[in-house]
Amino acid sequence: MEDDLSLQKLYEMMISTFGFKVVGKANNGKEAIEKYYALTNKPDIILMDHRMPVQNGIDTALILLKLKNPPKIIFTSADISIKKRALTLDGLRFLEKPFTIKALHDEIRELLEIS
Amino acid sequence: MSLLGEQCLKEDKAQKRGIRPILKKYEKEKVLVLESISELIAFQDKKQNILWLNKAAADSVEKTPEELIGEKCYSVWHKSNKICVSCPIDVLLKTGKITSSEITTPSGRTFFIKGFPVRGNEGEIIGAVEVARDITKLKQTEKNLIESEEKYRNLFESSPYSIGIFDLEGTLIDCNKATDKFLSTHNLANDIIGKHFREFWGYHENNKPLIPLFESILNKLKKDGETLEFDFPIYRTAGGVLWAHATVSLIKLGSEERIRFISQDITERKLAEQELESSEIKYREAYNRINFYKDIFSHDINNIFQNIHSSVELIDLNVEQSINMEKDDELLDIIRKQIKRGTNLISNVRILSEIENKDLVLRKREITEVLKDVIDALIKVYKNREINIQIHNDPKEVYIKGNELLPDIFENILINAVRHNQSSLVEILIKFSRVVKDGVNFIKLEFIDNGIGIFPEMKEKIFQRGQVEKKDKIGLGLGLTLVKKIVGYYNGQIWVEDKVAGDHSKGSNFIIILPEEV
Repeated sequence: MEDDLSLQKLYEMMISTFGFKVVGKANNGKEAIEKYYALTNKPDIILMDHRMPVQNGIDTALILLKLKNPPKIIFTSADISIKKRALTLDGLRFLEKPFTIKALHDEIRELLEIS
Repeated sequence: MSLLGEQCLKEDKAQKRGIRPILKKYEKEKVLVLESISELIAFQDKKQNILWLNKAAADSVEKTPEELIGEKCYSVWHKSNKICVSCPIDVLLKTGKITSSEITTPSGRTFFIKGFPVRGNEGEIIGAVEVARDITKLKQTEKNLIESEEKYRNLFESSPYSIGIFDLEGTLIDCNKATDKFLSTHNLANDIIGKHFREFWGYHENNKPLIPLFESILNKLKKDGETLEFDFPIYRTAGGVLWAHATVSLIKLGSEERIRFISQDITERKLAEQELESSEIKYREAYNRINFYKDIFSHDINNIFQNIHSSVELIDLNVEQSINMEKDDELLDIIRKQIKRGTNLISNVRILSEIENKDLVLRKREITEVLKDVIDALIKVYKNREINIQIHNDPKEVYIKGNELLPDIFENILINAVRHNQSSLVEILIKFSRVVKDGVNFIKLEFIDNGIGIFPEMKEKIFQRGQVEKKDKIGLGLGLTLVKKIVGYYNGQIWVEDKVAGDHSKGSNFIIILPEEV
């Protein structure tokens, strides 16, 4: 979930490099929730930016985490205050922008091992 | 003596014997009347020898009447051997007319003396009756009153505060000297005494709003009777503004109800407050600017870095593994675009800074050609999107006062209309019209799109990046903040409405009004 389209593309490339599959992309929180409900194969992990039009990342995460089997969420932001808020929510990881491919890979691997 | 003569004498004696008791009775009654009068009464002959005086007159010098008979008037009350200066009796004896005057004795007592001439059978003056009233206490009270009045007049006039006394209708009855400086013109306070406040606040155009203010104060005061305080500006003909703090009360002056209006010059305080307020605004603006630039670095710059960093890493990975070589061109393109994005961002920050410092010069500019150039460039940039842009009521040639930033306004709005649009066909309708607002002719441009729309609560905030709480930032970029700043710099306005009123999901209508330059 990222409104910066080039970053969206780069994340997809990185995730594919790790051998994972991107099941859906969204430009904002509202679209992400709609797509999440519509997907038959729900994603294990959502890579989520905070600042987006229509609905921001934190508000979207709060909705998704209330679901019965909530997805794991990796928050990506350069805003430290968002990091503090994001880490108060259970099941949320935080990657501070700009992050490396390795850092993203490590977070995804750890989350999948936990689950 | 003849018989008749004897007879007459007998009758006369008998008659006198009959009259005497009557005369005695009259004499007694006269004395009783004169003795019961509190005024001092003395009958004097032409040489001012006292022939008779009443008890009150004798009591006034603590003597009996008998002790004073034969004494000179001026020696009894003035302890003098000379006739008093401006003695009314002396004047009366010379002129024959009723006279009066006030005389103060050496002991400090003051008498109001009135003299009445006493004439003989031939009408000649044979003496005078002096009626005197001791007015010492009255004079003292009068003196005290004058002193008191002087004291209060002195306080009134020397007060640094303007003090005005109005009647209940608003006419100035009295005011002190300090009022001079509170007047809008060079007129002195004395010139406005007797005038209604409507008249003297009407001298200066800018002071006319004081008339309804004073009317409401007057009405409230008459209704509630409570002291009122308020600040108001007075515009001076000579230039400048004087700020006054007024305390207005109802008072009783004698039996009349009046309005006391005390005004204090608070110009210095007001100026200090305004300066403080302006400093606070400047400080707040500086604080917001810092937050704004911090926000740019924490979001936009980091996103650019993230793009470049991830692209470089992916290229490295591809090179290492000698795979996906065809993707490298795409990644290099991302890097190029991000460098361009960074350059634009820095340029926009510079423009914002110039606008805030008011460094830009405005000239007469034609806008329809500028708009068409921006539309052409947009179609080229978004060649992968299907875009339909229509212009309604194209005026062909219309001018505003702007500068080289004019294209940025159209570019930002149109790019947003494309970027925040999920429809397969991006439709944008640009409507031209003219409106008059506050007597100014404006060109109105409406950019109506079929994009995702803007939530009602976000409609103002989208123009306020850097001035809103972090949690509300919505990531529309620097664009709309810049657009609002530029439009404001052109003395125009920008706001957003729903394309379909009440349903934001149908798209937005960005409305800009700019003053038309003829």
